[in-house]
Amino acid sequence: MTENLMTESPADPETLIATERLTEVREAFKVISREIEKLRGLELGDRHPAVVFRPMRKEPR
Amino acid sequence: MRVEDAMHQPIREVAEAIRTGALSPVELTTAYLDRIAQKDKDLHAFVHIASDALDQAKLLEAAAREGRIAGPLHGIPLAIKDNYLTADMPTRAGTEATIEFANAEGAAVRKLREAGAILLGKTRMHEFAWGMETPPARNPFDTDRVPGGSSGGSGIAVAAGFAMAALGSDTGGSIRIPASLCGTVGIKPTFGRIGRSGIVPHSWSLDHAGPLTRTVADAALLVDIMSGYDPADAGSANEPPTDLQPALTAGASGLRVGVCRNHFFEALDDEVAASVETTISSLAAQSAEVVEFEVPELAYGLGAIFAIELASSTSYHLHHLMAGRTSAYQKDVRLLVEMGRFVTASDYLQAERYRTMLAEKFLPVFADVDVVVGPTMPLTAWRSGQREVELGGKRESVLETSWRFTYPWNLLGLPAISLPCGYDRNGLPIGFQIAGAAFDEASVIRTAAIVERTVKTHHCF
Repeated sequence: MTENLMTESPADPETLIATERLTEVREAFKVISREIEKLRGLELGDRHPAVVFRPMRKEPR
Repeated sequence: MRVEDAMHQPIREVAEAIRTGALSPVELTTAYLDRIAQKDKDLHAFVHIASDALDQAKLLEAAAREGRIAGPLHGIPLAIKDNYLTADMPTRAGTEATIEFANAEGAAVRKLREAGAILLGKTRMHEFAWGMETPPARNPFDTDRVPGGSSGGSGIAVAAGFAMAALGSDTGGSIRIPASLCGTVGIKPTFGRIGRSGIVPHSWSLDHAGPLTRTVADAALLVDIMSGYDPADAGSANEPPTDLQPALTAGASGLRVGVCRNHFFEALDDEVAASVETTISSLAAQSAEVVEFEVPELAYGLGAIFAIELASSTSYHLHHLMAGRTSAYQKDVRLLVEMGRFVTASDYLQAERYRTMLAEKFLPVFADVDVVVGPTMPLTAWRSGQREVELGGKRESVLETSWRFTYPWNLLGLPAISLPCGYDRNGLPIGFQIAGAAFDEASVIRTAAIVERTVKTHHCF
């Protein structure tokens, strides 16, 4: 790990990915991105996300 | 009961033999440890063997002799996936990066111990549960092939007779995929049914805990033992533990079996298709009512699970990414963690809203049927190093193929089991998947028990 850290280029500040790896990672993401793009076009009306925040009850004294 | 016989008996019968003194848990544990020592050098199922396994067995044997029975798993040797934290064994979650995991235990492992289980060791997993191959582990049916993942070591441990059962975790199919490829039973109950405290997270809203077992009865027993509310898991359901034993003998009369003809039957191997169709016909012949239907909205599922799993996993690993520790991850896992940085917040939330829609679409389905059945996977175990497969005239990566039929049940959080329904021309197991409505594990177990009675299961021991 230490060796990798020493030899890798600095991370891209926006993505946190080593700059020398950015092109490879972006390229690999293209296949996934096509599936996510399909989802963007889906009309979901007023549906809420499946994951919602639940307030935590205070512990009884 | 002879030790060799015990290894082929249901857990309940083995536990009863231990309770009555007809079987020594020390001899049983010794036999498992000997087999692991002899055979695991080729299969690589375990990453750690408990140094105190025999001591655990001796204490439980002495207790049984005095009539002190801890519970239904008294003296039963089990294996634990390496993403379950354990107090007395190291946890690595499949990684070699310098990340420390607590020596603590969550609800599932604690309940196994309280029930009297012997923890034999930790099983190999795909790093951080982010993959379906579990290198360098090998499939016990053919060591040139993969065991699946991410709970690959647990699938091997059960199929090769290294333990009576093993724990797995399932985010997109990680219990059912190795179960399918290694010819074992594997169940993920309803989301929240088994507490996940003490399990290294992968994707909070998709992660499920569950067992891989030799039989459906063993799967039902372990779910009964591990289920119940876990206040330390934010996703835990406030439900009582299950009682699945009556479902094992409920039979097919009046059972309504759904078959979703889109998505779950697309681009699959001919032998897998034939075996699954034979199994569905067998259910019908036993007087189950078969109902066919389609849910076109499943076409959006792959984008949704990618968005949620990538974003969630990368959120979990973010501090490691910032600290440069991900450079020590395996190449494939590092790439996935980095790709998660490209999923936008709106894409993530669109995926979570899609889950609400998909759940709405399946509500009327489960009003008409008790279970939905089909193949667990489109294919049988592929060769180590194989990257692509052609099915139904479509060429795709084996990784994309492997979880196509399992991930919808993670998006829906519904209970799903895989069990063998046949073997292909190479003798490789074919998995049959049965899913049920939320918190209706009983119908899943009922159907699985019927299927199990029609199949001659092969084990590698």
